[in-house]
Amino acid sequence: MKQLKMECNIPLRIPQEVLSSIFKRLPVRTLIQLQCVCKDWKNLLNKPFFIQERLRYSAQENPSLLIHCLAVLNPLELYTFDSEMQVRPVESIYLIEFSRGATVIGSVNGLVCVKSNYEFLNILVWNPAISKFRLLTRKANFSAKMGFGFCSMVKDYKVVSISNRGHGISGPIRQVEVYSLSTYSWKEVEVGGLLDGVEITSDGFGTNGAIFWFGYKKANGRFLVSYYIAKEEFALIPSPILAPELIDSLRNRFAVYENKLALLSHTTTGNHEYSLIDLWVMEEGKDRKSEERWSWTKKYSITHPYLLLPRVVWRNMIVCDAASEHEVVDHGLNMVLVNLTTNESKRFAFHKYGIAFHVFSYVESLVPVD
Amino acid sequence: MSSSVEAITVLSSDGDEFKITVSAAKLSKPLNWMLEDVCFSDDCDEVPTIEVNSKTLVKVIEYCEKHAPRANSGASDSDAEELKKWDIEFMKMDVKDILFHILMAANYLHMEGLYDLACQTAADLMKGMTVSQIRKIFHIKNDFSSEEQEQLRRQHPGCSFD
Repeated sequence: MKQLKMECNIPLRIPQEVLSSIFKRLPVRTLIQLQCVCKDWKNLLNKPFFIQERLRYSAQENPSLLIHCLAVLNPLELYTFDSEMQVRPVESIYLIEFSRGATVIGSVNGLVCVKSNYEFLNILVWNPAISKFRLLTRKANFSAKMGFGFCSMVKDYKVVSISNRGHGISGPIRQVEVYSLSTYSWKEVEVGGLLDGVEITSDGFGTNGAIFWFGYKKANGRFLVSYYIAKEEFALIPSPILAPELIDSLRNRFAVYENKLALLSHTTTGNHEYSLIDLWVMEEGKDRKSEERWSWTKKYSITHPYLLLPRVVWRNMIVCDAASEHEVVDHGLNMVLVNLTTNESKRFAFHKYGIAFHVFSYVESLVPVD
Repeated sequence: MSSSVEAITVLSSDGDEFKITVSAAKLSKPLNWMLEDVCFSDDCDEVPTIEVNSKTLVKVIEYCEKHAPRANSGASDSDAEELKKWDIEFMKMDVKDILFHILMAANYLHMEGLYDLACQTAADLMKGMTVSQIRKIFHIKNDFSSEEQEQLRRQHPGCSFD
């Protein structure tokens, strides 16, 4: 007789792989509760394979946003916005609770890198879902441009700080320091003059094992600066945007589209009546010597009858800040989501007293920081 | 495979006979292998046993028969909608008894759709439960010492234990 074996005893014994398929669907606050059920469950929930599996599932099924509301005199005020469009306040921690100048540098795999000025400059890597953070010891350098990213190849998170060491003939001489979460330490990275004279005009954006900044140099014009986390190498990437009215990096944003680095550009047309938003996607070739290592494709171009500032691509939508629209300016923050397929837009008013907001891709995770 | 075979007979772990159509059996790889064995074998009297109890197997077969037309031929969006509603109704079963048996059976029979559905149902069920309620449905003994228990309560003030 042919038989397939299965244990079907009562009480039913549920193997770990099945338990983890159930657990990965649960929000972190429920999983914290499950840790208190028994020792086996506590161990399972802290295993790296489970943390990874849950992260993968969550990134796919419930990609969220982290919204930083800028309100006068308030400390860092953060909200999550999940795929069901539920807004939830993020519970703060004491180090940033008292800080007026705290900003979010980046958000990767549920870890949020925050720069705070409480007493002195602090850099934190913080997982708000599990209320854990790590304080990175560092000499104060308030003017440094930071970046936060993850590389799956080396399984490490890195914080990059680009600051001035001095001033040369062609502009500032750059010093780059990198903190690795796995080694718990800062080290200086040799960039061999590549960044000398380069003005970094944004905070870094981490994706696909690299961190990207907007850069400018008198002789070269506008371009992107990239740092590859595994190789610890920098490169200068040509910008897709050549039109002079589009090069203002304050209006351009990095995003991820179809798992690739993307760029959102914004300009107004007419008598500043219409917003024109373009979405560019970067392809990166294997040949590191080739001139055409990087190529850009314009995927979408959207016009909108108001001033809409594109912030990030989320699911199939461009998330925009519409705070400066005249008709709604008294009613706090307005987020407009423009659907890339249908071109329809949806509006969310979510904060009465805010004056502006920053938004980051976010995924709730159990990724530890200690 | 002979086209004359439309259904096969299988035995549950309790020894009851069940019929499952060929198209429904295709939802499960192990069932499909069994089916090929039965069809190609000269000795067709042999009835394969599936190590799933009768109560669970009835539901598994019901799921297979319902999903077979769509799985085999593809379906329109309205069919998919209808099937989703049917799935929700199908999962409104007595949890203590059979949900976890179905989950295990779906895992053992490599039925991805049913497995995901059962996992999601189990997850939704656990969402609002206290620690002791969860222990009860999973038949788990609290193996933390009273000191450890006290520490957990301190560490996670937001958790509801009782």
